[in-house]
Amino acid sequence: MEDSAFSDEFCRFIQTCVTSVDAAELLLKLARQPERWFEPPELARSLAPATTISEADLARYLAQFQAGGLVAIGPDKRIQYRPASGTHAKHVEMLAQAYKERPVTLFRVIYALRDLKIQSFADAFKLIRK
Amino acid sequence: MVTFEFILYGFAVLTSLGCMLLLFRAYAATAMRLLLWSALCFVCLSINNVLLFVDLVVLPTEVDLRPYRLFAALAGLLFLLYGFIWEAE
Repeated sequence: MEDSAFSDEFCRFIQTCVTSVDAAELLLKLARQPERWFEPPELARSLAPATTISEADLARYLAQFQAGGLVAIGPDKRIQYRPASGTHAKHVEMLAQAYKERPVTLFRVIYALRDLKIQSFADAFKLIRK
Repeated sequence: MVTFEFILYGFAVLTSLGCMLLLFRAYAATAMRLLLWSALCFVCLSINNVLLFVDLVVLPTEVDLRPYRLFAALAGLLFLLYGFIWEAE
């Protein structure tokens, strides 16, 4: 996987749906078993002990996935990986590939994009843009 | 003294209006909602500063706009707090 694979479109996907490394691991866990419905606590436990996710973070990540068209949430609150389109599925495949082949680059991108909001606030006060 | 206050409070109005315009410009360019909340904060702070100018420079003895000024400042800070809590994470 080359640096060019981190396209603007893929970065936008990361910025909106995968706001932390924990969220990436959660999404990949769901995507590995697309036919399975997960109970949210069970899903969080399945990542332990390497990754510990609080209830609040878990709820936030799942809401981001749902808003991003990546999962379906049933009436019983269980979750299933269900990308809304081929593009969504492709982005998740790219995420899995990046996680496997370029984890350091992926983590740096995730946190750099997260800091972008604060940077944009600072940049707003630049009278002349470069 | 009146001239000093005119300049001081006049600058406060211009500065807050300038910040508001810059933040709206940045929001229009990036569509980041943090910038929208920040811009709305500066709308309220601009109103606060205009009221301050009127209250202390234009009509210093005729009116007391303190409650309106404080309300505008409070509203502005609430916009900013909301933006930083819910959009900056």
